Amino acid sequence: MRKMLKWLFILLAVLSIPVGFFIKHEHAVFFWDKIPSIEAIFGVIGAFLLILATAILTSFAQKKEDFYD
Amino acid sequence: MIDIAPPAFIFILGAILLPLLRERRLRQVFQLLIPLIAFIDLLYMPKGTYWVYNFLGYDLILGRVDKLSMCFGYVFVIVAFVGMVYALHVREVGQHTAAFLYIGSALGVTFAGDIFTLYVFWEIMAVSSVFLIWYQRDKAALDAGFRYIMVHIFGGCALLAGIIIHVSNTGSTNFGFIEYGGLASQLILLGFIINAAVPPFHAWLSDAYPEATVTGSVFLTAFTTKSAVYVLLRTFPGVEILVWLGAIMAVYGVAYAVLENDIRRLLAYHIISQVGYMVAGVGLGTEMSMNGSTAHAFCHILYKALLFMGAGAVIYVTGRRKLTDLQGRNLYKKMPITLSLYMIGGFSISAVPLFNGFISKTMVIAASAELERPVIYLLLHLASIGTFLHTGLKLPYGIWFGRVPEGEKVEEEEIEAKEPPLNMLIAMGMASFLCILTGVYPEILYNLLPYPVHFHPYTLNHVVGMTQLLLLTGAAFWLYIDKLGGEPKISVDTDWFYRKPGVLLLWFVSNPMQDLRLRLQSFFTRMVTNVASLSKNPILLPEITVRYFHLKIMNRLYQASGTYKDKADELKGLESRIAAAKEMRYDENVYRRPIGLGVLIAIIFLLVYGLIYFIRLR
Repeated sequence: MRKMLKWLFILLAVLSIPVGFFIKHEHAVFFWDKIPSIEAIFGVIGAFLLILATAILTSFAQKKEDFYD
Repeated sequence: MIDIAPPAFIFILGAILLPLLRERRLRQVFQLLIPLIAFIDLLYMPKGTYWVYNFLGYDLILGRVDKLSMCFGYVFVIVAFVGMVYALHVREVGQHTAAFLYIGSALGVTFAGDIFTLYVFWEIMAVSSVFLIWYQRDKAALDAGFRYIMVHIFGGCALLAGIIIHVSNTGSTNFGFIEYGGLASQLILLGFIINAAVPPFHAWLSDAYPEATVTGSVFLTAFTTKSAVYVLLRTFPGVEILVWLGAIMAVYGVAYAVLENDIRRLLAYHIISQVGYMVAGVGLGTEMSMNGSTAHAFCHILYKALLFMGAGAVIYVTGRRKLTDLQGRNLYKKMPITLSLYMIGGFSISAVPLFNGFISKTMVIAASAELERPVIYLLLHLASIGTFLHTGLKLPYGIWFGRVPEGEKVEEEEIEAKEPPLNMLIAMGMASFLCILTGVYPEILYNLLPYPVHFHPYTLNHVVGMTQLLLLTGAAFWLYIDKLGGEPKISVDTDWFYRKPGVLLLWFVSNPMQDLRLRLQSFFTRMVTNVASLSKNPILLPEITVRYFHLKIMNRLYQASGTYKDKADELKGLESRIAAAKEMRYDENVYRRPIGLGVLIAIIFLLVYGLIYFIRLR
């Protein structure tokens, strides 16, 4: 089940990237709107940034469960 | 004159009558009947301003009905019904009473037309909601509830101070747009953003909500923060600081959520994040952003209630609330329906197309793009990624599929897990249905929004873009899955600033301050005793003073001359004479003089006056 979910996600993610090349942004506002599949790039960068933020936060904000006791 | 009652009063009346019903079945019917009556009441409430009562020269308005208040009114009543279905099995009447009061006061805030009415309901909301935490009846809940009410009292005081200054400056009690700038507006805004859980005033939420009862937390997720969003929409649209606060809190919530091991605390951080979108929408101040905030509040209430119901069902069945305690249990095999319903909430909050989060969250993000605010746009996007990463992936994976890390073993025996009671599943089913209905057919919601909607979420670009964002986030999750597991730790947040110094303050008060208090008390007690003793006979005061100094001088002299021991009897004699003088009570026959004391003083005064006059004359 877990492996199936994992590969399903990765497969769909990979398949979704070429689709972006066929879609035209109707109301491009920012410069990045014209880059094909930019949302996919956002997804990867965003997830990476958040995992990085976790590592930073963990270093000073995570304490033992009895910290306030 | 209209014949219907304010919806707030229906719930408050329900809270009063509910404990009087002895029969459990009857009580259950009543619990469901009240939200139904309130819903019908809403359907018959015409637009306009009514239920106006004059009090001390001010108009108290209980019914200011327009599209904005009706949108919040509808969703509040809907979630009240869903929450009551979820809580039907709870036998403790007090919990339902507190919930009814809480819902009623939230509706009172929603339909208030003046700031005094708003304030009264605002405070009832704080007081009634804390009982939903305290009914958990453990120490953690009692402590968290106490901190919760202290923060809300602080916020309420700030709000009241702001209201008083505002009313004395403007003379108006109208609850509407307030020009931002000046102390009054800043205090009112502070009161509102504390309830909206805007950082750094947010820690009460992630501290208290996870400690509430399983059913109580469902109500808590819906009313306090969303009524704060409603009042912000009314009073401070277009205030720039709210744009930044909202965008930062959207990211802040998801960043902290990842550290969490407690499943409801993780979800609580996502409330902060999601309310961030709404606050940012208020700050952007355009029709589209305000519509987005309202729509997102509506959708958020439904899917967050669903998520809390799902997490609550797991806690109810397993008795465990931490990811580290739930891993390796294969709960997906034992609670597949709960998992499926939870996932609808997970997809909704993550803005997956066809679920309601998609039609509201994208509206706020589109509003930031419309105003060409790239940083805000990117921050809100980042928060979307984090939301899916944690609520859509980490949490369900951790609860239902979580594996024990390598090298560790599940020490305890297998959990006897099964699906929760039917009423819980039905409530989750209803919320799921509404999440999908409003996601598939957004016009239902768009018709309720305060401004005309010119937004089409289901464009190819939006759908593909969001799908790509989520799928790539999902792929990244599977790659970094080891770094996203729960750890048996807690995260320190801004509540540190009152929890740790609070302990020090308690020590300071109960030790040095208590010592000082005792010293002062003893000093003043002695003084009072002496004054009382001397006042028995004030005429002897000069004599006692002379004898006292006589004693002191003799004492010193004998000590200096080294004859102290020999003269001890004499000194004791002096002491006893002072004591005897103190004991002598005033007796007018003893102190009778040829003339009265008053006459004597008058003669002395005249003499002195005469002397001064004589000297001056010369």
